[in-house]
Amino acid sequence: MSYLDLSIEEMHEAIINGKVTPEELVKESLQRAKEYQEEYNSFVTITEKEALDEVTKIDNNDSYLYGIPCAIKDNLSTKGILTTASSNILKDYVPCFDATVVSKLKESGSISIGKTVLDELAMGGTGTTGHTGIVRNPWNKERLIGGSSAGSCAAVASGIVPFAIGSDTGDSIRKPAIYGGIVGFKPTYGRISRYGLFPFACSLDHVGCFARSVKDIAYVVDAIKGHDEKDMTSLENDNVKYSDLLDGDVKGKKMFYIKEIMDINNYEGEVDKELEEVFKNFESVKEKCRELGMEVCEESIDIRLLKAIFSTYMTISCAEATSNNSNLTGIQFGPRGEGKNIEEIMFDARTKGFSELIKRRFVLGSYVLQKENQEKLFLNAGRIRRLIVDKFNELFEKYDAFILPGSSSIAPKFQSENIDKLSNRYLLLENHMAIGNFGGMPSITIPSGKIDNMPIGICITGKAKDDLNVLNIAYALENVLGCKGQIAGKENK
Amino acid sequence: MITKDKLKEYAEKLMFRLEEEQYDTLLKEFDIILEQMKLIEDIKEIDGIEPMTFPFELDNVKPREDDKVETIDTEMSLSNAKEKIGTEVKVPKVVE
Repeated sequence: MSYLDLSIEEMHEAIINGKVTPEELVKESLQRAKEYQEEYNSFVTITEKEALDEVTKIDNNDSYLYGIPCAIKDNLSTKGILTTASSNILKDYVPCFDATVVSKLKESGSISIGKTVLDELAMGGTGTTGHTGIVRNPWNKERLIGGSSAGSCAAVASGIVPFAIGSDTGDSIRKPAIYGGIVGFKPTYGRISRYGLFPFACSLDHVGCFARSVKDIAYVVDAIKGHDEKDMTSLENDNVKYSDLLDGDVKGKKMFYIKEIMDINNYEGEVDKELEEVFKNFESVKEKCRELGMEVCEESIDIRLLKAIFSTYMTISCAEATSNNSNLTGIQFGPRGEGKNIEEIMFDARTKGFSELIKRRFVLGSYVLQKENQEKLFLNAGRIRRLIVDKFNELFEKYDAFILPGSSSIAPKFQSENIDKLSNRYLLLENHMAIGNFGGMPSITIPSGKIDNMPIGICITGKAKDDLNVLNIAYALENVLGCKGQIAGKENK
Repeated sequence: MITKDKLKEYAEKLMFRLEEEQYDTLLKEFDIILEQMKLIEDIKEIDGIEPMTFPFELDNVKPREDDKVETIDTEMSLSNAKEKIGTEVKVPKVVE
């Protein structure tokens, strides 16, 4: 057993007691990153030189992250280090400042060993659209890891680093975490500064993290959260240390699940072995919750609202993305295009710089923003978003959180047939996690079992600003689910 | 009714082009997108509801002072420039 495979707390103790040095941990992490790169493609850039230089300078050994290696999604600005958002249009971009989350990690003494692959500009959920190639699932290389924070998830799932930073606009941390058998958390909107994050959809974007246990997540969030004057949506400090307050005492907590999503009769003609297993697993999770002293109740929500979540998400996110990415012109950012005038130069840079998938998403954004569609699509999506959030906030008056499966299957194969995007399975079970983004709610996924040696998991979401409660419920639950701390490579190799 | 010409118009407004066969793929994709969009249009009880633009009311947002708080040096500011002359960015001639 390597020290790198332990929990952050155990690694920290080993460092403090002189059993291992930060330099040894960082070197092993770098060695794994290089060894696994061809197999899984987690990284755009492995920052070996910078990591080995940085590790000689750290001195904050009061911090739990002191000397702990990490990885950072390549849509977070890192001063002097290539930051591409996995897009050709930013393939040579080197930021001149650090994102706040990156500065905070440096202050904590954590050492970044690389920048991770994402779906281009964070707009995708498969991990297959980055400009440096597809990211593979460490549990099975024929399967995808999900996205958009694909490389960050694969780096943690394969044991390269004990934690990694991601971003989550619809479920871009939590869905890959499910497929990778690890923990993924996006806290309340504004809890972690977004200064230096390349924006996708500002009203939905969150910074969050991956780790192998809820306690590890708490250590990471403690280090990177906090008010930031540079981000106008940043929350005031909550002045608590989550890692100190996790006690697993959840007796008397109340959670709900949504009847319409968990009614197998709503998936007529769409049920297969995996879906049955997901339902069976959820039943056992509910049972464990009850054994822990929690109440789990069924609540009904208008199915039309639930089925509109995905369209609402696409409408809002694609519309915001068209605006946020309007600076990628080859003039302010990106390789300069060719042409006789500014317009031609911009057309050329954007035509060459964006992949087909991104262009298709932008066209959708353009479509919903057309004058004739603004009211009936864009503004109505905003109204439906409010209806959905109001409904959940009403339920949070009675409940501490809601719990649902994080996916309807294990990670799909690369070549698998595309799921029917009008099916209930897709609209209800595969896309409900965007609710947490609509309302800025703290939301976590934890592994809850396996099907055919591939991980599945559950999602717990709570009221905005109630991060500690969500973390504590997940902490209690992961201790009885038996999937804590798992590393794909350790079981498969 | 979505046509290929309409899609081209939407793309042109965002200042990029797709290949002809990519517009065909997009046109097919729009068959599904329009069905999905109907799920928004199907919800009628939205009169008088203010569209939501942020997850919740942000109560601590105040304009910051217009102070110069951070600057970058010349070398760093030129580091992403494709071409430079001395301490200036060289740009292509675009004025006839």
